[in-house]
Amino acid sequence: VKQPVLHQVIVGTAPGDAITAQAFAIRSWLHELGFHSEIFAKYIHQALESEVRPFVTYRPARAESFLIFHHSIGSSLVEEVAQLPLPLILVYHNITPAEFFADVDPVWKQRMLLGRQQLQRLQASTHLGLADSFYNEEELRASGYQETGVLPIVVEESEYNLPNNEGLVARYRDGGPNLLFVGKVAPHKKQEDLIKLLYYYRRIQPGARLLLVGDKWLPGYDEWLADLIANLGLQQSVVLTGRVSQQDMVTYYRIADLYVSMSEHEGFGKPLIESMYLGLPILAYASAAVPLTVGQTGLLFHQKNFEVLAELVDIVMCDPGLRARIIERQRQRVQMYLASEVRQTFLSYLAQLSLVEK
Amino acid sequence: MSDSEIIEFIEIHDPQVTATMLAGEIRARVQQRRQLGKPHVDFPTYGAVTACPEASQELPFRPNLFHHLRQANRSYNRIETATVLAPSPATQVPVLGRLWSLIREQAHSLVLFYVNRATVEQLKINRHLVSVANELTIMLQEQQATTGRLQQEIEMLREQVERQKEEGK
Repeated sequence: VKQPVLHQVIVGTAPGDAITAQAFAIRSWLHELGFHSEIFAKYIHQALESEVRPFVTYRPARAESFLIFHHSIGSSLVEEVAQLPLPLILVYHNITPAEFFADVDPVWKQRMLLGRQQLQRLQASTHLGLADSFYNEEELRASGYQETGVLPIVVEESEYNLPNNEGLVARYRDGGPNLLFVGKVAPHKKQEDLIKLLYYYRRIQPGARLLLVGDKWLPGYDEWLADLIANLGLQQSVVLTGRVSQQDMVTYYRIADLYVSMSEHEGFGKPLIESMYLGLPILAYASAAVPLTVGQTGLLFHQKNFEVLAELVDIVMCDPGLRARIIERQRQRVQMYLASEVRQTFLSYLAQLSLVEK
Repeated sequence: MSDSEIIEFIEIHDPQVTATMLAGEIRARVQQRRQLGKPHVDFPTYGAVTACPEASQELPFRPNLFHHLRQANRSYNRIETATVLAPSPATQVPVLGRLWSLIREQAHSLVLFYVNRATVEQLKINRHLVSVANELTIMLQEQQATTGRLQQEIEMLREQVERQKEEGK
């Protein structure tokens, strides 16, 4: 009996990246099912060189009947994948709207525009379009995809059940309330608005601190944030960590008191479900997929009035009953994103494609 | 901000705390804070360009000023950076063609990487200059409106003085 083959292709891989983590989860499920499955990428972070193969080495095998392609950005790789003689299972992770880069970085703007065009082009070679959220599924349907489904971003529990980095705990668990946001430092994630919120919140709680966990990404934005922090006199209260290890990231979730998101575009928002899993209440701007990911658990807001939001943050901080109820609702909701649940969903799609028995 | 406005922007699904309750508490807290002398503060926004003002029919304006201003606002961020990699006979050659395509793509990407660094800086300057031009034009329009009002007032006062002089005779 020939071993079934189902490979995945992804533009870029990096440790801590939600799409990369999803590809690894899918690969491990496929291995459990007896498939030969590898991940091919155009850009491979050096830490993953032993795990991911360069796309230039990929050749479709006879035993392959489908290829999984993760789409999230414009790239010449997409054109190559679209020309392969294999139907695709497209996993759509959303593309940040180009307008966030129109006035700041032409190359990124171009990549996002190209990504949207390529989403249309990929339709012809796609057999099944899977989105990682209902929000993204809507976009697939709006782009003309007929056969679609939802395969959520997954929480692999073993990656979060790690011990704390005690050095971080000693440094930041000092009583001053800690606000946390996790995500790359980018204009659409709106870290600047969190800094503005902190300015107001420190008028209520002078010891408050903002922990911004995430890789630096767009140099101009980093500089602008640094200027804003200096102008507001918040140098001692804003911590920009840069890229951190999984253990440090988990520790930051644990030493934080509230997860706050001002992000204006999230295709899914993995840190939201990480917060849910690690018992951190969420207060988030209701943009893009955020309301669908959070559901009726945390607190959402639809306008950015920093003065009002600072009071709301303080109310949530000072009401243990409300916090406990939010955390409990979040704990219930996160069950649907745990690996065991998502694996079943993935299996049902494989069965739909006759890749496994129903 | 009124209670109803606050209610509209908060979304909470809790059996004990409602958006109405939160709105009342927040409004009271904001008022209290302001009474303590903590004012509302406005902040700058990253990448934002001041909106281009429109010429007002009520105010005198130079057509050239608004022509150049509109053009500057339309084109300050129109910078094309897409790679142009048209297929060539060399890329069609079996095996070596693919390798040549890869080398070409890498070379284009490398150029683009460095060009974009300069472009991003230029774009930053463009953004600031266009915003300054827009802000100055807005200020000019406000000053023109103020000057117009003051001129009307002077005219009225002048007429009043004239009338009083006439009545005094």
